[in-house]
Amino acid sequence: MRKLGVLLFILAVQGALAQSTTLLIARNIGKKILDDGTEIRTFGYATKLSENPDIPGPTLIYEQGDSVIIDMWNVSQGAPHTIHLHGLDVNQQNDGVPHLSFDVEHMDHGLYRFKAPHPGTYLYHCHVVSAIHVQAGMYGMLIIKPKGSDHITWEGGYTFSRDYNFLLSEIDTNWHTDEHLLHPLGHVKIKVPPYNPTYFLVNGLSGSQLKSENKKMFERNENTFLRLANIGYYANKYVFPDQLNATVISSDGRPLPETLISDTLTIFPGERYGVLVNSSTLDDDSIPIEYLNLNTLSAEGTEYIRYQVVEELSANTFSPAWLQVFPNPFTSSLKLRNLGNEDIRNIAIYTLSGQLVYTDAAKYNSSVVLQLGHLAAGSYLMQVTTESGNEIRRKLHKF
Amino acid sequence: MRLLFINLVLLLLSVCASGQTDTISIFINAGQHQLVDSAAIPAKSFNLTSEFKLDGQVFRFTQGQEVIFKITNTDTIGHTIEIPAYGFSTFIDSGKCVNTPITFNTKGVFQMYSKTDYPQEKYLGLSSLITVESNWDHSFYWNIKEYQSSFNTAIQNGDAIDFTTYTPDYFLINGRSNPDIATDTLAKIRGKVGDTITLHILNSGNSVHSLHFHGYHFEVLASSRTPNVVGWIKDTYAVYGGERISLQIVPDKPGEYPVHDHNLVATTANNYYPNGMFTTMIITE
Repeated sequence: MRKLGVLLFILAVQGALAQSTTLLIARNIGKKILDDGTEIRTFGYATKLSENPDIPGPTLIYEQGDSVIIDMWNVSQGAPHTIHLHGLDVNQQNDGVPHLSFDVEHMDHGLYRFKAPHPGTYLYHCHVVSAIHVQAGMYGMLIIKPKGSDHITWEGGYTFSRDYNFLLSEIDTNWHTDEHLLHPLGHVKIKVPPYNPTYFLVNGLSGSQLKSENKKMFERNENTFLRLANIGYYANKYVFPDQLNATVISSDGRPLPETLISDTLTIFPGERYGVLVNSSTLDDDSIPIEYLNLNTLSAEGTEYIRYQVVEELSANTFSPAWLQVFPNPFTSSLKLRNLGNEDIRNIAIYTLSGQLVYTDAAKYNSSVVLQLGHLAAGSYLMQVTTESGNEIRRKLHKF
Repeated sequence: MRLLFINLVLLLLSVCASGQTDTISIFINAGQHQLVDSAAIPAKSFNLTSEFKLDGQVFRFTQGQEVIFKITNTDTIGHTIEIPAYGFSTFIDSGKCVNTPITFNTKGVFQMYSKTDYPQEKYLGLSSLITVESNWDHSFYWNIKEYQSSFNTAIQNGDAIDFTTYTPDYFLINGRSNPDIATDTLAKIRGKVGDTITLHILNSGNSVHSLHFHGYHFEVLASSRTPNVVGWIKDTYAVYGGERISLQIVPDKPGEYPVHDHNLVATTANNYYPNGMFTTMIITE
């Protein structure tokens, strides 16, 4: 009971914790709805007790040089859990391998400490009965950005206007039954079923779920940085359309000695790659990804990342005089003044990685004040759509 | 006994570094290989004696070394043995012995295998790792592979197998699975902070094994499949079937850190975790 009190206290004050302290709660009671409506039980990491631990877990973002503490609580009423900081080369104590560092029992917590090393793409996942706990959903991306810059790959590296993160995995629903998820505890052999995945995930989504997501927006003649990672048990073969001029620039958190221009990139379990795409032509297409069985190299699933290459999102092009947006930067509210001849019929605000965080489908012919106090501090992209379908975009910054 | 056997192997081969032409006796043996869960499967192996042992199959030579391979075939079928990178090819009939000279001029990691009924005999285990080095200090050797145990039995019974349906159930480093890999001194990486550790790997299996290293990044020194990755700094490397690689690690801190296939299905044996392709490296101050 005392530990529950400590957790509740931490949850209450987490907003006041140091910037580089992250609270993760390991849960065994997740539910996930798959593309065809099938519901499966999952394990996962959440940031609040009230959250469903989704697949993948939250993306953790730090800056190079940050002294990071991840405070992981196990509120699972089940197996112990850990966090392995995959690729971060932490010391043994913080490596998250149960018999070599420590594991965290139900209603206990553990602190993982590291200094954010090289900018790059990393992973975190549970290393307790890892074959089962990773398939169950206990994983996420961990990104280290260069100090003070959201639009450069690393100091002295490449600039980019936008970035997207893609964490790929698979689901075999036979592994998501209580028979296998609720495995015996202790130093015993754990039986796992044969692996025959039938759902192939991009950031936790597949099939129609993925199609219903907003297209990824690439700016014409601007670098877009793709962080690609594979936490599944199959390989991911990306085939980039020629017009994207895909260039592989980094892998496993390190720059490549020489960049690699290639329209095909196969990423194996545990690997991460950084890829720049840059198109000189406007385009509306998709990047197919085949999921390859590692024993036969046969493709057993294909998913698509839809994208659109649009004009540069500069302030002049996308801030016509008839639409006034102020103040920008803002703190809690943002005023839009429509001086044009058309009604505004939709307002959407995205994070720079494409996550929709605000939408308003009401019509406005004059002014509207958006209450955005709930958004985290940072940069956003606002897309305003008019009655005739014109789209106006504006970068925003919230203090 | 196992350590004595390894030491005898190394002693035998290292004697040859003097420039003399020495004879290396290699036996093609068939037998039953005991897996980590005590199940036994038909397998074959190159050995230094007529006793069948799947473990290891690592043969180390010094650059420039001239030897005569005296290959004795104790199996019931003839075998064509090849080292493609050296243009080495010789046929040894069942029950016969053949002497073939070879000079190891080129440094690197190579594969010696049986081309007979390809890839079946190679699959059964007639696929060894040969390294040619100038310096063996802090070097370790992994001959990795996997078995679908039902295939081994089918091959022995003369039944057809179909690799398009390949679903292996055992995953091995030098013939062993976790935790037995730790007892193989050629495989178990031990070193000190600041050592320059080299790991030579042959994937003599059919599956791709995506090896992930905890604790340290490594530099890719060589790859027989994709030479353009030389110089890359990584923590995970996918080794294709037949691929030969060399990796270099310079540990910056002490500790015991896992190295394992990140296709986590391959960390199991006959569907039991954690008896697959998983081991640790131990680094001291």
